[in-house]
Amino acid sequence: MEIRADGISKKFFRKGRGTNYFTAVEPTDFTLYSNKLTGIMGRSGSGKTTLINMLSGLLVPSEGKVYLGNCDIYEVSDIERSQLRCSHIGVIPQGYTGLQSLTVLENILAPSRICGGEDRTEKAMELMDKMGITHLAQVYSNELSGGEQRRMSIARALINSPHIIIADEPTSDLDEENTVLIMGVLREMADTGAAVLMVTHDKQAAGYADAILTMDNGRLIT
Amino acid sequence: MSFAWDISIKNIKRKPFRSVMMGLISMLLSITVFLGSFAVISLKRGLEGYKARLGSDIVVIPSSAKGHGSVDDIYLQGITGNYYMPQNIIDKVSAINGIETVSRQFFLTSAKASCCSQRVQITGFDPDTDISVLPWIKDEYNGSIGEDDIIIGSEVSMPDNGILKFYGRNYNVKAQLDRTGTGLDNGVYANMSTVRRMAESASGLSASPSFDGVDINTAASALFIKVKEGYDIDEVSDDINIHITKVQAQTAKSMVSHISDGLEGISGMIGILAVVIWILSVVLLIVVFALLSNERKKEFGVLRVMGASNRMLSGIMSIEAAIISLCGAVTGLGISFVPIAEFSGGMREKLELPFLSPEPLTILLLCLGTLIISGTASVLTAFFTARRIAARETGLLLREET
Ligand SMILES: Nc1ncnc2c1ncn2[C@@H]1O[C@H](COP(=O)(O)OP(=O)(O)OP(=O)(O)O)[C@@H](O)[C@H]1O
Ligand SMILES: [Mg+2]
Repeated sequence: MEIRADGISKKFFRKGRGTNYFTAVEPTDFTLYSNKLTGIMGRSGSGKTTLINMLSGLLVPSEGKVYLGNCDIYEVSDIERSQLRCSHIGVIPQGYTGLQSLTVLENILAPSRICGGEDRTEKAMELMDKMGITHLAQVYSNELSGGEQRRMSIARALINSPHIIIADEPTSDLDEENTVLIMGVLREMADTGAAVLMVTHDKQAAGYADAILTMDNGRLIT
Repeated sequence: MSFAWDISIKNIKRKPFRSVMMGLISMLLSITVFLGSFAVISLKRGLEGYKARLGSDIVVIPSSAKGHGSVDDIYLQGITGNYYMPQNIIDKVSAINGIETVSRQFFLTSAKASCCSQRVQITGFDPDTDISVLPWIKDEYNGSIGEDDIIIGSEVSMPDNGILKFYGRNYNVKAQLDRTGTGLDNGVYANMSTVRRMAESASGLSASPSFDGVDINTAASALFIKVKEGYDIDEVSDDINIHITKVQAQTAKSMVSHISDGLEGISGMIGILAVVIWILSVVLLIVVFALLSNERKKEFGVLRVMGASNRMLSGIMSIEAAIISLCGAVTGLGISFVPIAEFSGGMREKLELPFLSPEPLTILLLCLGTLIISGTASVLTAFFTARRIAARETGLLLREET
C-alpha cells in the first residue's frame, strides 16, 4: 500500500507582512513507495512536520488530497480515518510521547487495543526484545530515558504491523548506539515491504535511506 | 475490559491529585443538592405538620380566657388555662349556620403540689371528633387511648414505672411525643372523660383550680370547628363573634399565616442559596475541566496518533468523570448525613423551626437524584470539553508541549 499526496499545501493563520496567513507547505505532489526508506531533510521550520502530519491523516491540508491506496483519507469520517491510521499507518511523532498512566508494555499494546482484534502481547514482547527494552516492560513511561522513550514509541508504532511507517526525527538527540539500533529496525521494515518515511537532521541516519528529499521553505525538492 | 475503561481507571490512579480535585467539586455539588433539597423538604413538611395539627377551621374559647392568653397562644404556644364554657353556650355556637363539626377540648392546669407529680397542662380531647391533637399524636402512637391513659409531651419527665399521678389518681403513660419546641411539649393528653374525672377529683382538693361554677361534666374549654363546604370561614367566625357574646372565635388561617409566611421565606432562601452554590460549582467544574484538559492536549494527540477516534477520546474523558464524580458524590452524601443527624437533634430547637425530616424513601430518592445530578453534570462537562479539544486537529494538539 502506498500514500499519495495530490497538490497538498498548508496555510496557518498568522499575522505577517501584508497577509493574514503563513504558508508552511507549498502545494506538493508526493508518493511514498513500498519497500523504500525515504528520508526528508531540511532546516528547522521548513515545514517537514507539517507535511508528514498531513500525510499521516493528522492534519487537514488547506488544499489537495491525500490517498491511502484508493481512499481519500480526508473524505471519510473521523472514525473511519482513525481506523485506517490504526491498522495501516505507524506514526512515530516528534518528541517524547509516552502515555504516562501506562507502563512500557501497556503503551506498546495501546494501538492494538484501540484497534480491537486479537491480543498482541507476544508481538509486543518480540518488539521490546528487538528494541532492547524488555527489562523495562513494567516501568512507567515517564521514568524512561530519552533513548528508551524513543525506542518504546517505535515499538508502539510497529505493534499493528503497519504497511506504512512515518517517523518524525526518530534519532534526534540519541547516541550512536541507539541510532544504529533504530535505523536498523526502520531499514528492516522497508526491506520487508513497508513504505517508510523519516524526517531527520542526522547525516548518519540519512545514510540508511534509499532516497533523500529536501524541504526548503515549504517546498519539497526531489 | 475495553481500552477506554482500562486507561480511564489508570489515569485516575496515576493522577491522584487531579482526581481528588475533581472529586472534591463533585462532593461540593452533591452536598449542596442534597442538603438544600433536604432542608426545603423538611421545612415544607414541618409547615404542613403545623397546618395539620391545626386541623380545624375556627377555634372558639370563652371571653373569660382573655387573661390567660389568646387563641394563638393555645395553638402555637400550647399555653392553656383553666377557663370553661357551659353547655348552653356550646349549644349556641353549634347552632350557628355553616358549622359541620364541633370538637371539644377540656383544659386543666395541674398544680405543683403534693397531689400531682408535676405541673403540666392537661388537655382532654374527643377521639371521635378530634382533628387537632390526634393527627399529631399519630406519628408516635397508633394505639387507642382508653380510660386513664395519657400521652405526654417531650418536656414532661417520663416516670420509670410509666405511671403519672394527678390529684391523687394514677394514670398510665402510653407514649411520649416528639419535641415541637413549643408549650405543647409541656402538655399531657387524654380523652375527655379521663380529664373530666381528673377535674372532678381536683375539685375536692385545696389545690384545685376554680371551675367558675360550671358543670365539668358538660363544659369545655375550647371548641374546634370545621366549617361546612361552601361556607366562608371568615363569615362563620364573624357570625360567632357577633351573635355569641361570651366567646371569642378566631380562624386557623389567621393564626398560622404569619408563621407560614416566615417559613416559606426561609425555605425559599435556602432554595435560592442551594441553586446559587449549585450553579457556582457547575461553573467551577467547567473551569477545572477546561484547565485540566489543557494539560492533557498532548496525551490526546498521542492517542489520536495511535488511532483513537474523537468519539473514543470523549468516551475516555466521560468515563473518568463518571467514576470520579460518583466517588465524590457518594462521599458528599456521607458528609451530608452529619448535619442531618444534628438537625434531628439539637438544631431544631436552636433554629426554632418546625423541621420534619422526610420519610426514608424520600431520603433514598433524594440520594439517588443527587448522584444522578452530580454524575450527569460532570459527565456532560467532560464530554463537551473533550469534544472541544478533539475538534482541534491532532497535528496541532501534538505541538502543545506538556
Ligand atoms: N499551528 C501553527 N500555527 C502557526 N504556524 C505554525 C503552526 N504549526 C507550524 N507552524 C509554522 O509552520 C512552519 C513549519 O513548521 P514545522 O513544524 O512543519 O517545521 P519543521 O520543519 O518540522 O521544523 P523542525 O525541524 O524544527 O521540527 C514553522 O515556521 C512553524 O512556525
Ligand atoms: Mg518538525
